[in-house]
Amino acid sequence: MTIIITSFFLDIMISKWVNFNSFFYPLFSILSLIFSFLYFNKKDNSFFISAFILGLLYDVVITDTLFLNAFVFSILSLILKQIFRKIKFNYLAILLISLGTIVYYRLMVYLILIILNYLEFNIFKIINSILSSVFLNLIYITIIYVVINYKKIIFKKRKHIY
Amino acid sequence: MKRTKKTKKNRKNKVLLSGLIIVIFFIVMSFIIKDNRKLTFVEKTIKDSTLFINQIISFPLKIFNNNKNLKIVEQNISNKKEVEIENLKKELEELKQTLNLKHLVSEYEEVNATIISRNLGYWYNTVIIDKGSKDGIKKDMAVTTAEALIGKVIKVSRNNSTIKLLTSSDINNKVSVQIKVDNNYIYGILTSFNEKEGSYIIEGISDTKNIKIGNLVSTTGMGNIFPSGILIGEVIEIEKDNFDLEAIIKVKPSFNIDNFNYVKVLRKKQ
Repeated sequence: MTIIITSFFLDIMISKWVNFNSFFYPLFSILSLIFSFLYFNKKDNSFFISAFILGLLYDVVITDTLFLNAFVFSILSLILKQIFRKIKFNYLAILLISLGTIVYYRLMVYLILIILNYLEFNIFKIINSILSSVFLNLIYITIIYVVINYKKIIFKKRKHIY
Repeated sequence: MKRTKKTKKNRKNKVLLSGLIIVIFFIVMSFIIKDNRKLTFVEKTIKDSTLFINQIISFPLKIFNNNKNLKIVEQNISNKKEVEIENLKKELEELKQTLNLKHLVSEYEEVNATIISRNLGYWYNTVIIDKGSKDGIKKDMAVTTAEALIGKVIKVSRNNSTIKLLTSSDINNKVSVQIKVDNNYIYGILTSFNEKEGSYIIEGISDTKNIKIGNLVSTTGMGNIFPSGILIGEVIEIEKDNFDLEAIIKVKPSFNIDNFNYVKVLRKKQ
């Protein structure tokens, strides 16, 4: 939960300093779902519900598009559940899944907005939106991965001592 | 045999349910995605409380906020004043002839606000400010920086408001504008924003022979959206469209899109 809440508030804070044509758009909230999956019970629906609530909060506070991000985040949680059944949790897997998440999120939201006639179709816009979200978010994912692994090592050492 | 029939039926039910959820989702979204949707009480409460917590957390970071290039800002403020004075003179002349002119820029007072969050959705081009309904902010109020018009208020909660920028990708985002050419005005429609070049696009002008680079562009007040006489930018390029029928005027915004933290909401004087 800490990862999710921290990522959400970081999203709001960092957005203030993002330039218009920047390559540093943060998507920390949705990427935090990748790591938070580890801490949820794989058998029940708590992960799905948490993703839905996070998406709803994202909608209400940031984008004012009620249920859009809740829907997208929920579907992502179902996809992540299936992926992590088959893939081990290592750095390369996390990087690839993060890239996939960024592409999925941008494409999904863009398609929904086109179907609703909110935007016009422009292939360069969608490519630009994906590229602008990669750099900063991969750095963030790396930092979170290092922090989580460091915590695991410390926890193991303490268990060993006691 | 019975098991496979049951699993097939279950799968069929799941597909039907998923399809139904998707259809309901799009129906609901078609009502929600509109700019004129009012926020519910629950949304306002959640938004205000979350952004309040965010403001407390980000308070120490405010001291690292950089100053803008003062010379450019001064020039843009001077352009804005020039446009406002010209527009006031024009309005006074028209008032002498007809006494029913609405939305004069002199009818408005400015409410200063700080930007607390910028758009993350990428497509929406919105910012959130720290003033809301308790400060007299209402939907559709024009918002400017010290230099120029930036957008309008689309959603209001008690302590915060969402501003939709003129740079938004929304196909419904159009503004009636006027280009000052010597002592006359040429009218057009601001239809979109070119993100690569960082310029507004004005269309609907057939005769551009007198328009020059550097001419100032401001709002007309038509359409009852923005008051008249608010500076938008200056002309940087004039080209013909693909059919060589209409001109496309490119306008450089008179404010720094990448770095503006303080805005003014134009509120009608009471």
